[in-house]
Amino acid sequence: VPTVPSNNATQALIRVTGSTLDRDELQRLVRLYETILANTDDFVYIFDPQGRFLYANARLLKVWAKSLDQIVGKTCLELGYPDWHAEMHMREVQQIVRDKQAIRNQVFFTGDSGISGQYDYILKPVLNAAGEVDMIVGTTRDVTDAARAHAELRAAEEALRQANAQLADRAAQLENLVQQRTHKLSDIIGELEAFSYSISHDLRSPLRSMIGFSDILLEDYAPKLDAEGAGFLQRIGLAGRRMDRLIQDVLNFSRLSSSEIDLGPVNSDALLRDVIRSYPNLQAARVTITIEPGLPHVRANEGLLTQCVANLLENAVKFVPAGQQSLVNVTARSESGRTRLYFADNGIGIPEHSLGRIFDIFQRVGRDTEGTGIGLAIVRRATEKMGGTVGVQSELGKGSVFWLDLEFAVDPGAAAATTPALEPAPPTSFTI
Amino acid sequence: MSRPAVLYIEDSPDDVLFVERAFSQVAPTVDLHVIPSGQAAVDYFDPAAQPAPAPETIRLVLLDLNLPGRSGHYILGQIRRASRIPRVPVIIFSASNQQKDIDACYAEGCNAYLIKPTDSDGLRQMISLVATTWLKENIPASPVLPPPV
Repeated sequence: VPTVPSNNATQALIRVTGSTLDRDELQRLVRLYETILANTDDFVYIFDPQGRFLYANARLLKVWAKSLDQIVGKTCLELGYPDWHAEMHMREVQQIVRDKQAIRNQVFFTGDSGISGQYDYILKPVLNAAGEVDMIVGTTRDVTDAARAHAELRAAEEALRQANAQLADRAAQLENLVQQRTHKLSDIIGELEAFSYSISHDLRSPLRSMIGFSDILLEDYAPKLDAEGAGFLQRIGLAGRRMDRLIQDVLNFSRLSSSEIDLGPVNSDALLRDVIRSYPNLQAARVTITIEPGLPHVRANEGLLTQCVANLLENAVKFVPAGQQSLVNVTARSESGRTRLYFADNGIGIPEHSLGRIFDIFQRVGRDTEGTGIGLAIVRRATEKMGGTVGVQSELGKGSVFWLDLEFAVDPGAAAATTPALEPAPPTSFTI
Repeated sequence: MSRPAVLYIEDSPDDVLFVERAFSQVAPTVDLHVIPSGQAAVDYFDPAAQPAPAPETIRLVLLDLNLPGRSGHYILGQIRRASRIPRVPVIIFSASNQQKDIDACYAEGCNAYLIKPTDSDGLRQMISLVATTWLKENIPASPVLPPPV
């Protein structure tokens, strides 16, 4: 509801403006501005150059709980403002009268002036024809919410900054921890290598003595022993040799994980034939190993692949029922840049429940008195070290097919002359 | 011709017994002298010492690596750099099959690196090979040469 201006207000305006307009026109104008000024939440007011109120809008009068008549001609002090507040406005009025410059400021009310919160105000001089300050027009806006939002934003920013700093600290701590752990781990690996060395020497040394003395007893004291005694001595020697092989295998297995290896093209055909030539038990009369002609080159490490192939072939010929000919068939298939080498045997086969852990260390499927349970674990670790995979299919009583999957390699000798044929080899016939 | 003298530096009495036995079986003319510790070997090769047998009569040194006191690596270096017989053939005879041991010994100038066999057959074969390769009667004792510069 627009405030209806009182006669006093109109008279005050006529007095301060020195207007020559007639009363009706002035009243129209006053009604117009009062309507505008009553519609704002801001405080609007006018001081004279002595700091006395000439006008206050409805919003401000409501705060004061006074009518316009009651405030015209009063100073802030006379309206009951606290001293500090009244003096501040008086100083500002005097400054504006002197400098003829507007002032913008913010003030915080704690409630003793009837309002509370953060307020932003602008005091602006109105000059007369002589260029002197005639009146000072003020507007005051409640910015409590904006200030609070701003403060909250700043607090949030600060919290974010602190969180980031904490995060950076934590990251640095973690990095530090990783470095410490890495350091510790390399120490442990070093200790393990020293331990391997000590196994190699300290454990095998007494073993050599046991085997050596049991050999001497068998060789030099045979006439003094009966058949049973000689048999026991032989068993001591066999057990000692088996333990020696076990220690060697464990050492080889543990060295596989720590050693760095070089990979290059390896002629799997030549490598297989070399392995067969150097292992007497692969040339036994009861053994027939067939190698598909022209096995490809694979990307491998010659030493590791030799170990894998030797272990697989020795396994293939070992587990054959007594009196039966051992037949091993080695084939290869190359596809999509990979080569798979298959080792098929006609042995006793592996029960299905054992297939899942056959490549784990110390897993022995049957009552194999020679094996150490490490051979296939070495095959898997060595193959993985060369970026390959291993696998097995088996059927009890019919045989097993072990395979190594490695990256195909171009024959360095033939590379210049022809493009390698990557077509899959013709289907191979396994014995199972 | 006198019996070829072989110096065997070894702390394990069992290994000494096995090697003595193997020599007596496959190369009985060899005169085997055993030095039972690293420190005793260091003393033996001290150029100022007057040990028996005289170093100049040694045709071959068999050297274990893992010795209490002074290691085989140290003794090999001493033989090559600070002894009266820097050119004497030295064969490392060790249980270690570690590549870093093997590489280090060849870098220090050993003539061969042999890994101790596990059984008596293997040992006999190895000693027989050593005797025929390094101790043939018609091969003269290595002349005493100035140390390599």
